Order: sequence, then C-alpha cells, then structure tokens
Amino acid sequence: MKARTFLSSWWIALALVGCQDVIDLDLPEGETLPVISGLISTTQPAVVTVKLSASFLEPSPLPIIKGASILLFENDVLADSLIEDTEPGTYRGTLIGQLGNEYRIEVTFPADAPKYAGTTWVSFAEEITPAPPIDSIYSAFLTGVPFQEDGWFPFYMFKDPAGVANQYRLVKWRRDSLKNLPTDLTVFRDEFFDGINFNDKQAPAIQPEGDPLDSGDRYAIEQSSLSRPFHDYLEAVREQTVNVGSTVDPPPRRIIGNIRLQGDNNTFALGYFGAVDVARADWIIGLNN
Amino acid sequence: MRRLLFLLVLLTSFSTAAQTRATLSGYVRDAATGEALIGVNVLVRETRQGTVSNAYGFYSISLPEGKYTLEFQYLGYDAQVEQRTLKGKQVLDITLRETAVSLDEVVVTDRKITEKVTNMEMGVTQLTAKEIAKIPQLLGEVDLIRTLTLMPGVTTVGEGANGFNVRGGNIDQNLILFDNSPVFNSSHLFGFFSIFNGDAIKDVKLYKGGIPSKYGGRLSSVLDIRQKEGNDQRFSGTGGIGVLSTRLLFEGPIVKDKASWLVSGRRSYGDIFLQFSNDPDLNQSKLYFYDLNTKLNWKIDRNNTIFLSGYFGRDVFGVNNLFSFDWGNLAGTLRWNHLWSDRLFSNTTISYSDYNYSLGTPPEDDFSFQWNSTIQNLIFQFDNTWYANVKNTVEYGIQATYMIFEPGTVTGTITRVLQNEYGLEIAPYISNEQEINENLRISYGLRYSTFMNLGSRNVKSYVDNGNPSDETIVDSTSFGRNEVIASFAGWDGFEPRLSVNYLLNDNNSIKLGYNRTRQYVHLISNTTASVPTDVWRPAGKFIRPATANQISVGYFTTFPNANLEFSVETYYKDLQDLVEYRDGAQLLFKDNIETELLTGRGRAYGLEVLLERKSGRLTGFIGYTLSRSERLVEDQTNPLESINNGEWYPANFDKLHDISVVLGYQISKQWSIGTNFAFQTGRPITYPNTRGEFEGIAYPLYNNRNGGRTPAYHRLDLSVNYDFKQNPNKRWSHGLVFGAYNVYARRNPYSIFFRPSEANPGLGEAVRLSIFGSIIPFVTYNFKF
Repeated sequence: MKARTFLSSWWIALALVGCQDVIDLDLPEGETLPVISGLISTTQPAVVTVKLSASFLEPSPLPIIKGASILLFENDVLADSLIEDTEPGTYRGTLIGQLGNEYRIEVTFPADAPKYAGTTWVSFAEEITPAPPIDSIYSAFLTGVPFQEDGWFPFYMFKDPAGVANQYRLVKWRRDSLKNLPTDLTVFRDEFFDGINFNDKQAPAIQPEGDPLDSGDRYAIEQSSLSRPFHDYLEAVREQTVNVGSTVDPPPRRIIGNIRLQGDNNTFALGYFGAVDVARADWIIGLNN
Repeated sequence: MRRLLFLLVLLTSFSTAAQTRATLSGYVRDAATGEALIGVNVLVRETRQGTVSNAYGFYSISLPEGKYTLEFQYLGYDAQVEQRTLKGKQVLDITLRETAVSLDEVVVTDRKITEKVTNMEMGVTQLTAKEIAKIPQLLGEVDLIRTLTLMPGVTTVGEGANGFNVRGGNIDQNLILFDNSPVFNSSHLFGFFSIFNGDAIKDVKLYKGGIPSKYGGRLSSVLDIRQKEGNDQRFSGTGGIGVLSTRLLFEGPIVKDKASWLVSGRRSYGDIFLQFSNDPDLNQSKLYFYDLNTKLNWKIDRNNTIFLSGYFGRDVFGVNNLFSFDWGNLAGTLRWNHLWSDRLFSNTTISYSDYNYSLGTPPEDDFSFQWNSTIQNLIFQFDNTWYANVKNTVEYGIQATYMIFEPGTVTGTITRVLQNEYGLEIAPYISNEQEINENLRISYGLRYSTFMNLGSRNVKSYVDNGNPSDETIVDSTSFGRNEVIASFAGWDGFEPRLSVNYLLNDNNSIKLGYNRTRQYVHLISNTTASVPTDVWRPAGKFIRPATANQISVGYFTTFPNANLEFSVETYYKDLQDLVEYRDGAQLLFKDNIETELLTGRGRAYGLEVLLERKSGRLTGFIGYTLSRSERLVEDQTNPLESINNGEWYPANFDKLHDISVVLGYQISKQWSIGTNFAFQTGRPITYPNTRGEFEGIAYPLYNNRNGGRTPAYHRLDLSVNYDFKQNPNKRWSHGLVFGAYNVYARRNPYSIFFRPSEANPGLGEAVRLSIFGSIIPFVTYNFKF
C-alpha cells in the first residue's frame, strides 16, 4: 500500500513540477492613453469613469481625470449630462436606459488635463436589447459532485430567445458583496444553445456559483443582454486576464473598445461604453424562493 | 501532364533496353535480423565511385566489365569486402554484422567518415534508433522529436509544446511520414512526448533543405521515419519498464528469410497510479496514451516484396465522469517493391492516414454533447529509381493524395455539423543525380504539384472576396460532389529542386542547395502552442496555397584521424501566403473560417554549425545555430488588423542562438554515461505597453507582438547506462538506465505572462511560467532477447 501511495504521489508531484513565479521586470515605457469605461442599463443611470493608462507594472492606481464634461445621447439626441461623483474620476447621470433605444457618450477632457487636454472622445452607439426574464430560481444541497465541495448552490432557469443571436453577462453578489475578481467576469453567447430552455427539462437549470453557500446566505445575480461588440470586448478582457499562464493560452492581443478620438477613426481610448437590459434574481439560500 | 507520363514510360523502356555494361545489384541486410540496411555505402575501390543502398536495402551499380573490389560500409557494422569479376548482370546480396562493443578507439575508414563530404545531401539529419537511445531523455523515454530539437536548425516554442520548427517554419510545415503515411499530430500528452516508439524505429531522416523532388506538400521539412521490418531469422523481443510507460516489441519469422512480422506496443500508466490516490477527483480521472506498431513483410521472390504496416496511437484524457477528450492517429501502408530489372527499382504504395479527436460529456448527462473531428488522407504513390549508370541515378514517379476534412460534428442535446472539405493533390516528379566529373556532382529535379478543392460544399461569397467578413456575406454557391470549387495549377505548381556538391579534395566539399515547396493544407491555431483540437483546412476559394523558396550553402569537412565530421551551413528562406488569424479569431466551429484569417509572409535565415563524432569511446555532437525567423502580416483594407502596424516581427519560436552539446562515453563494456547541455536565446513574448482597467480590474494592452523575450534557456541532463553481465550461452540481455533531466533544476521560463495582481486586481503583475521547475530523475529497465 505504501508503494501505491508513493507511486500516486510521484505522479501527482510530476504533474506539479511546473511553476509560476511573480517576477520583477523592466517594461518599456508605454504610451499613455485615456481609459474611459461606462454603462447605462434599464435599471441604473449611466456611470462613467475617466482615467489615464499607466505602465502595466506601475505600483499605483491609474491617474484619474477630474472635471471632464460627459454628455449622454439617446437616439443621437442629447439626453443627459453626467455629474462628477464624490468618488473622483467617476461621473453619474440621471437618465435610465430604455429598451430599443441607442445610447452613446461624448467625453471632453478638461483644459488642465495632462496630454489630452481639450480632446473629445466619442463612443459608438449601443442599442439596448431585451434580456430574457429569469423564470425561476431555487437552491439545492449537493454532495459528491466532482471538483466541488458539498454544500448549498443556487440555480436559475431562463429561456434563450430562438432565432436571434444573444450575448449575456452574469454579475454575481455573494452575501451582498459584488464578486469582482478577474475570474468573476462571465460572458457567454447562445451560439450553441439558441432557443434552449434551461428549465431542468429541456436543459439543466444554470448553476452560477462554484463555491458552496450556507443555508440562509443571500445571493443575487444580474443577467444582462449585451451587444456583440460589447460581448467581444468583455471576452477579450476576460481572455487576457484569466486565460493566461499555460502553454496553450491564446496569445496576447489588442483589446479595442468602442470609444475613439473625435474626428479620428484610428485612435481609440481604452475602455467601452455599453448599454444593457438587466434581469435580476435574489436568493435566500435554503429557502424555497 | 501527358508529356510527363510519356517521359516516365520512355525512361522505363529505355532502362530495360540499355544493358551495355556490367551491372551488380543486390540487397544489404543485417546478418542477425534480416533487416534491410538503409544508406549502406557501396564503394568500388578501383574507381573510387560508389552508390548507397536505398530505403529497402537495394543497391545497383553499373561499371565497365572487369575485376573490382567492392567494400560495403555501414556505421556500427563490420565492413565487408568482396572481389568480383563483373560481366553482364550479377547479383550480390550482402549481410553485415553489427560491430561488437569495443573499448578500443577505432578509426573508421576514410569512406565512412567522408560520407557527409561526398554525398549530395545538405540540411539533412540522419539518426538511427541506437543513436536516439543513447541520449538522456525526459523520464527516460526514448523520444525522437525531442532528440531532433537538439540538432541545429530545429527548435520548439518550448518544453511541452506540440511539434517542432525547422529553419523558421511553422509546425504544420513539416511533412512527417511514418512508413510513408503522413502524421498530423506527432505528440502524446499535449506535446511532452512523441508518438513514435523508439523500439519500432529503424531509421530517421530529417530534410531541412535540399528536399528531394519525390517529397512535397509541406514547406519546411520532411521527416521520413522508417519502421523496422521484423526479424526474419528468429523470434526476438525488446522492452522496457520506465516511470512513464512500459513498452514491448516482439518480432520473428513467419517463413525464415522470406516473411516476418513485428508487433510493438507502449502504454503510459499515470492513470493507474492516480487510482491509488485518496482524492476522489483524482482517482477517477484518466490521462494516458498508448500506441501499437505492426508490420508484416513477405519477400515473394527476388523481384517482389510486399510490406504491410500499421500504426494505432491514442491519448485518453478524462476528468472524473464529467468530461472526456481523446485523440490519436491511425495509419496504414501497403507497399510493393518490384525490380523491373537489375537497374530499375520501383515502389508502389497505398497508404491511409486518419487523425481524429473526440471530446464531450457522458451521453447519459441531461445536457450532453459529443464532438468529433477527423482528417483522412488516402495516398497512392508510384516511385522508381533507375540506376542508369555509375554517373546517373534517376528517380521519377507520381503521388496522388485524396484528403477528407471533417472539421466537426456535434451530437447530443445540441447537434451541429460543419461542412466537410475535400481536396485532391497530384504531383509527378523527376530528378537525376549526376556525376559531372570527379569533383562535381549535381542533383536536379522537378516536381509539379496541382491541387483541387472539391465539393460537395456550400461556399459563401462576400462583397469583397479579398476581405471576407461575416457582415459582408452576399451569396452562397452550392457545389456538387467532386465538383471543383478551386483549382491550383499552372506555373506556380512547378517546384524545382537543385543540389550541387563540389569536392575540394577527399575531406572537404562545398555544397549548394535550392528548393521551392508548396503547401496546400494549413494548420490554423490561435494558441501559443498547438493543441490537439487545432483546425486543419485546405487551400480553397479564399485560402491560398503557401509557397517557400530556400537557398542554402554549406561547407563540409572531416578529420579522419580524430573521427570527426564538421559542417557549416547557411540558408535563406522566403515564405509566401502564410495563414495567420485575426486578433480574437473564433476558429472552432467556424464553417466560413476565411473570415477569421489574414495572409502573411515570412523570412528565415541562419547559420548552422555541427561537429560530430559517431564512433569511438566518446561520441556525440556539438551544434550551434544562429538564426532569425520573422513574419509580416499587413491588412491593407483595415490597417487596424495589421500585426505590429504591418512591420516584420519575430515568430514565436525565433531564437537567435541555439547551442547543443550531446556527449556519450563508454566507460567499460557494462558502464556508459551520456550528457546533454542545451542553451537557447529566450523566445519572443509580447510585453504590454500600457495598462487599462475595466471595473477595477487591470488589463494589459498589447500592440507590439513578440516585442520582448524571455530570459535565456539552458539545461543539463545526465544519464548512466549499466548493462548486466550477459550469460554467453543465453540470448537474454538487460540493463538499467538512470539519470536526471534538468540536473541543476533551473526554472527555465516557458513564458512570461501578465495578469491582474492577485493581491490587488487593479494593479498588474508579471509572472514567469516554468514547465519544469525542478530536477526530474528517472530510471528505466530495458531487456532484449
């Protein structure tokens, strides 16, 4: 038996001889670019952050841009002007998005901003398409599932609309805390399940959480509908931050958003302004929700 | 085409009619096993002319009638000298005996040591199974591909990467032939080990340049691997038990001297040991490979021999009962050797090759899927060698390959089928190796390849067919079964080949080589190292065939007193119409994959130096390569799609310096040691030039592909061989090989990657990935009877 244990340990050890080490590295001085990210949804007014990029290994947060002018256009008509929040570099509007309408922003840097003073950056218009409703939720105590600890897990059901390409993003709150690690960025397309009903009959209900919860825990998700470009942008961010560190990773690539310098089709800011519809579900784990 | 066929018939007729000189022909075989010996030097002492045995051990030499002394020489075998008075047609079959292990420093004869100087080949690496077995290997597994990557001009992206790169070519630019069947995936365990069981291999030849006209279909190299034929003298076997796998080979006569068989198998057993783990997630998982080699050969009579060989190999990976993934090659070859006359040797081959993979979930799952994909090749080949006279050897023939690509079929809860693609490649060829005078020999040849992409298939049309995208589809055309969708013929299909050898004196020569090659199938991959699910697609309406032109010059010399061979070669290779993918390309389950692709160019140039010692107590080689491999991808329609703004950038496997020192030393009859040292410039990686942020998560922005490099790679391996004392009355012999890979436990970087900091996702960090971060010891028990 000892020999068996030794042999299995030897094989496991062999599988683990590969290693990752965080290292110091001198990177070439890179270009400084505007970093503009924002979102408007059918449940929240627009929120936009404006910053400047920095060297990747710079050990401090990105510089923020105060005093920018940010205008929101609905169907190409000026509809809102965003106000700087108490959190510097963050700007908030008051208009809530409407299904079927298109939204875009124009961001003008203040005259005293470094490098990009007075420049205006515009986003491509995004149309809000409907997110299918979450039909039902429940939680279940699972045991003996491979690569998963025993415990309570939430499930939800929804039907993907047939005949149209749909893209989704899933945002999760566990015990009222937003899950916001790189690995939590979850986007998917219906390329392989167009029109499928995830109702435990045609297809299993979706389990959004991999770590077990306790009975009585609060859990919530927002499943939003994305445009294809927004999905591709988020997928690229996920790929370049999560799918790294193995021999078969996708190689590094540029992540191009939808915000460009006004009057220049080839100069893009980093970031994306998206417009989404949201379907939300809340659980009290262990209760019959 | 008609003219070429006419020429072939004419040559055949002429050869049978022209019999004005004496001709000596025969087969050269191993005395103990009856195995045909490939590349045996047949030297005529009086004229200092000669020939070499072909891949089936056959040789033929025509001389004026008279008395001659013939010497048959083969490295590792005792030379044999025969005196013959030649008149008319004569047959002389030779059997050579393996040289017993000797601790004396044996100086091999001039001819043997000067073979590399005198032959036409340049850019060629030839290895025997014995040479490969002497080299210390990862986990003690005798590994052909890993050995080749120690040779000048051969690199990989890194440890554990699938395939290999030759003189700046991509991994799909290597034609890997296993007993004439093409192999599409040469790796087990995602690239850590090659699929070729060393016990079953007889001979390996890698053409990096100067590719003969009988080979085609890939741009950068040909790896021609020949299996053993099977011992036609007595039943025998070899095997070994190592930490990764166990292997067994049995062979024997069906009818002594007439027919033999061979069966060889290998299986890794990681999964068996994982079953002993207490972790239920591990003990129900699977990760293993197996392969099986088989061969039959039947010498019907002196003029006819038939060979039937097969390879079946598979990798099996399963994660508990959640997911399974398996892939493998199947290859079969039927060959008929026929002697039309004592000077005309022909080989007719029908071979079948199938690479397929399958992945999915158990069918009983509520939401199940099974995904299957395959590439099949059916090949007919007719090759002839006409030993016209002692100064001319003509090779000619034709090759036809029918290809079936099944990119993907999904069954289960969801069903989806990608359209198959079909292709037909036909290529006649002819070449002549001619001795102009005592010092100058030329080999010149021409291959003409054509390719047709065939139906049935629906093919989309775009607003701009030169820049296809999903948003600009305007039409779809349906092509019927075997209807031609796209055809590639004309002047582009000519592939001239040239080799020149100018002998400065007995020990020095200068060689020149040129070859043009065409490739009609492409491996489309968007991962750093290739994976088993990468997509092979043929040239067609939107994907052009790739073309390479390579010129090389070399200087070859020998130091007979020291048993040393030295060569230095330089080359320049131009590559056109290479397939590259767009940033973020979705390659899997994409029918109109042309929308994800760009076309690029490549160039590679370098200098290769090799110092070798193949006999004596101390053997081995020191190789050095100085090289560059670069790519250029420019999209004039959409400049944002251009890579690095349309400027040249280093290929993933570009390494400026590559040094290998491989040495073996026979201490005594029982003890020997081996060592490798490898040093390489770090491989290109892409550094981020700035940091963006999305919802507080840092992400890297890249716009300079392969603009940085990992630190240099270096590694030392050691092995010790101990052969137990053999009972002289018994055939059984056995021994141990033990040693260590990566002796000083260097954490060689496979890559450096960039990710959000684990402590603060708003900041970034650089991480070094090492595949082997520690010393890896091994022990293998080998036996033979």
